[in-house]
Amino acid sequence: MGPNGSGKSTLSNVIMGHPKYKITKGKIFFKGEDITELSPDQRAKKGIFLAFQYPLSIPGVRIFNFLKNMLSSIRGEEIPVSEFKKLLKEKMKLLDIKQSFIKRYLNDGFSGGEKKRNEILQMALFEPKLALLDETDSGLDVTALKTVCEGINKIINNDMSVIIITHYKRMLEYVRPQFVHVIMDGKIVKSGNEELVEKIDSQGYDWLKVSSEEILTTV
Amino acid sequence: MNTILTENIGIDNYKYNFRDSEENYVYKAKKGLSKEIVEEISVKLKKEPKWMTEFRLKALDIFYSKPMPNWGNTELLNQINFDDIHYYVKSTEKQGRDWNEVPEEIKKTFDRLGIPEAERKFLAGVTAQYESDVVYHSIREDLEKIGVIFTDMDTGLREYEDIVRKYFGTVIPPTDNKFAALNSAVWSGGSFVYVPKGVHVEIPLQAYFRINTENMGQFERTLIIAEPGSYVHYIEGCTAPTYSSDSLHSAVVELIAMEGAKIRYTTIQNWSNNVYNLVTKRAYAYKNATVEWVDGNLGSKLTMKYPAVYLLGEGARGEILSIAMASTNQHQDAGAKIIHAAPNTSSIITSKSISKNNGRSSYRGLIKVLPGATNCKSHVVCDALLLNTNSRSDTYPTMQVEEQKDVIVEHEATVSKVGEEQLFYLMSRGLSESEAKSMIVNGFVEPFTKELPMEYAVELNKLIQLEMEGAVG
Amino acid sequence: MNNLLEKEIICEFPDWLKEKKECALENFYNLSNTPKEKFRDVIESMEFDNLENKNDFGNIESYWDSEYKFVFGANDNIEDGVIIKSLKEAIYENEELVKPYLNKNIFNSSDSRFTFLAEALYNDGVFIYIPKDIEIKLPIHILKSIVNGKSKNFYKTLIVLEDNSKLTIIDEYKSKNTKDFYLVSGINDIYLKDNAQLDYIHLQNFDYNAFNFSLQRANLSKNSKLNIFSLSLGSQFSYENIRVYSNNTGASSEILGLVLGNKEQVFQHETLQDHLVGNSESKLHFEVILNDKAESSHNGFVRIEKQALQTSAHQLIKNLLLSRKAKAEAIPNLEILADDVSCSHGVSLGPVNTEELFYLMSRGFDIKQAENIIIEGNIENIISKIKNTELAENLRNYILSEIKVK
Repeated sequence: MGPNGSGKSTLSNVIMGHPKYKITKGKIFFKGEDITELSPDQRAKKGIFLAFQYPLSIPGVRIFNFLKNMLSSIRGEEIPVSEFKKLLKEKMKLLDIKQSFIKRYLNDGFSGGEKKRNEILQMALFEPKLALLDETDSGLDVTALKTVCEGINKIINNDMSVIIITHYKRMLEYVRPQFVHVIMDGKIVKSGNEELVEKIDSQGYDWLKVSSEEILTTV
Repeated sequence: MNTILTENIGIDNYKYNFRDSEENYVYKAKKGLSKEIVEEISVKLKKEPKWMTEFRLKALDIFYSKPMPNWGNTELLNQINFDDIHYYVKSTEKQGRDWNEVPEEIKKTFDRLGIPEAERKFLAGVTAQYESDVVYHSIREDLEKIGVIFTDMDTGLREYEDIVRKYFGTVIPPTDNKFAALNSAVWSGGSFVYVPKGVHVEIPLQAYFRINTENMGQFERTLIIAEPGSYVHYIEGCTAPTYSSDSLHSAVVELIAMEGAKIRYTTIQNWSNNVYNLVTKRAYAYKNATVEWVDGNLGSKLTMKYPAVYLLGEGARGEILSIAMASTNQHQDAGAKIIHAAPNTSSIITSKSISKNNGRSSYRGLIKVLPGATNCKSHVVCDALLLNTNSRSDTYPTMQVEEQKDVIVEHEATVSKVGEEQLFYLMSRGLSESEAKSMIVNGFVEPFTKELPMEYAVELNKLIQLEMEGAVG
Repeated sequence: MNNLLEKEIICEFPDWLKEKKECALENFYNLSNTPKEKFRDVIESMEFDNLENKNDFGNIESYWDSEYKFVFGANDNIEDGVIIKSLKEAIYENEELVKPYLNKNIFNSSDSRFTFLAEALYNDGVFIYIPKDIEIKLPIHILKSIVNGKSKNFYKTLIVLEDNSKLTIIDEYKSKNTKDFYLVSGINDIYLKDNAQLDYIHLQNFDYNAFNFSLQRANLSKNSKLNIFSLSLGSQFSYENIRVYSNNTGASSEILGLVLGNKEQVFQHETLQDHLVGNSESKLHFEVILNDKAESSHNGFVRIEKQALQTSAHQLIKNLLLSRKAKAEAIPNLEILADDVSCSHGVSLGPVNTEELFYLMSRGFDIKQAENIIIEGNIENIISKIKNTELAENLRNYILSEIKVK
């Protein structure tokens, strides 16, 4: 968690390897392996998944083809159509997504809720080892948020780590975090458990600012 | 030397780059153009009626008197040496109605191009032209029985002279432009299609054009007449082997859609990149008729082609959907022309172009609304994608509106490169850069491919993928 | 044509200019023999050859707008180094300043032959020079008015803004009750140095006797900014060529145009947004409104050269036809030789939107009122883009009162 502009989305983009960001210092290790120099697709193949805050629309690309190609690529082998269809059907059922959805173009003309649900469907097929959910709750009404979160809960398993980036308590009521970190000015300024969420929800981030400066001076 | 050269070599992975031996050819005109050559083709070889010979000779004079176009890629145009072209090449005496009647070597060529297989699967009729003449031709019997004519143009002239004489050269007269004049003088082959009143030909008719000889000029001539209330879909494909010197393909295609008729004309042009492809295509659409040009340009050295629809009757519709892909040393100068000459007419033009590796693609278009053509609507969208520096994209549209009452003409165009964000998004899902790029390009041309019969769409997507693999890295 | 008079005009200039003028004259005669003009019929119907070379601008005036403190030639109240004077005087008195610019050859295949004639036969014009770091708050108003008619009139204006300078120019063209038709042709050359900023307002408001040919040529250096507002209101025939060359990074330009035609007026516009280097941007937006038998043709070019990466260039030409006899043509061209660009153009041609008309009429306006509301809306589309609100307000009032007279 953290206020606007504190570096949350930057962090997720950097982990995913967005070319816009240059790493000037430090390295990224994933499961003991240095992935700092890897391209985004290589990182994806290692099992890192980013659910975008603003999923892009790519007109003309049908979701079905997109998902099938995505999965084949992740697995490193062509997935047979029949097998994929079965799998897709299963995941769509799990997430309560209508069949007609897959005939549409990727995020083209989608509502905010549809875009986010599409992201979670991708995650379900992807079966990541690390999922970064970047403000998946933004732009969703209460019902949509509930559906999306229920979907996430169904996907999450013991072999998967999830980082949820959010401003609000409401998503965390559905998807319960084990650890809560607060990021400000690009640094983790406070770590704790769910109680920290409660405190931020009632008091905002201001009370952390002082300590943030303290950290800077003591470092 | 009866063997076919190795597949998939040569420039840009051009898979149609195999050539056949010319050993058994029946006739090959000496290079160059003259009154004598025209007379020899018309009188001696084709034994045409006198009016056609006169038509050809008159057209030849027009060809001589017209200057080369002073617009478009004049640099490449002026490199054409009209004296260095074989204007007529005949590969065989016979024309088969069964592939077994086609000379073995030529049959093999079309086998490799997948034509007989496609015919079995989803075509109502096939014409295959090899060099100057049609070597294979068939039409499903049931269609023939109800009066649908689908034959090569030479046979059409022999067997249906009255119909041909009535319409031939009326949509595109020899005076139209220098290359239409040239075609009118030396034309050979092409298709003649006649669909009787009310007949719907539900599955496509297909023509396939192949140039094999170096320095060859192919001048096919196609005329399609759709009587009132009829429907026909005609598909053509073109390929040639790659030679070090250039060939010329200059066709004339005339379509006539009578009241309430609908014609769809699909082209997948994939000439090797030493072919000049200078083609005139025009349709007349009468009352409530619809004409659709679906035009894909992937090959050739220089293409100059602007399919046109003249909306002559009330309620007529014209639609032109075009994609162009210009790669190394290619210039695709393609576009569309719509003339609104009657009230309540509408038109849509969608153009998609892709330029890569110093290729240049240009959209050149005209929308004209004549006085009296009230309540007309025209919408033009041109999108261009640039895949790397050095490539070039031009847009040259003209819109002339001379009638105001309830007329709407709109045009929009964008030029962009493959978005970094889009690439990142796809790559974050595990696609490699070239996979991601070809996926975006396929999406970009999707409005075009979805209009193609499935087999063609798949083929086109594969072609693009092949092209993209060459474009990255 | 009276060749003696041509020679007399050219003779009055120093040798280095004489040569250029003679060359331009030759170009004019060569082009007169090639039939390439779009509206040649309209132009040929006028026998320009029989007109006298008069340079009939009885008074090219240049003054500070609104306060009229400055009258052409009287240099009081100006900051140090600012020059606003007759071009002819400047050629003699400030040769070192004007020569590098007047010596340039930057003609283009889209130029009218009458532009060459102007180059050859201008006798005078205006020279404006703003030195480094000077910002002039009040607009300079140049007024060129034709008095009598039955004349050929040529001018040239040279505008140079040095680094970090800033200026607004209102360049107005008028005529007062002329008795006969006349030809006007001129060139406005604009040079913006690094970080310079110019708002250039071009108001063409000649009476119906005018055959007008004008060329605006602008060269933009690093981080300079040019805003052009071009109003085409008057003349029987008016040709206007606007060319903006973005020669260095950070250059940006906006070209706004309003064309208001009625009777049998003919307007021809040629525009060019040429990007020679990257990181530059240009925007063009024209609203064309035509009534009666008025006719308009706009040939617009966007050209992005090979090395001009990260360029953005946009073009929008909207044509509103108010009468069935009005005609419009739009040819928006793009030539893109670089890949990392954002370019687009849009064109629309047609009558007033019926949905909008219906909506307004359902609120009680009659069809004429409703149409006027929509026309004023189209004008406002352009005016609202002018950032200087005071200037925008003045222009709005000027245009609305002028179209009432029209």
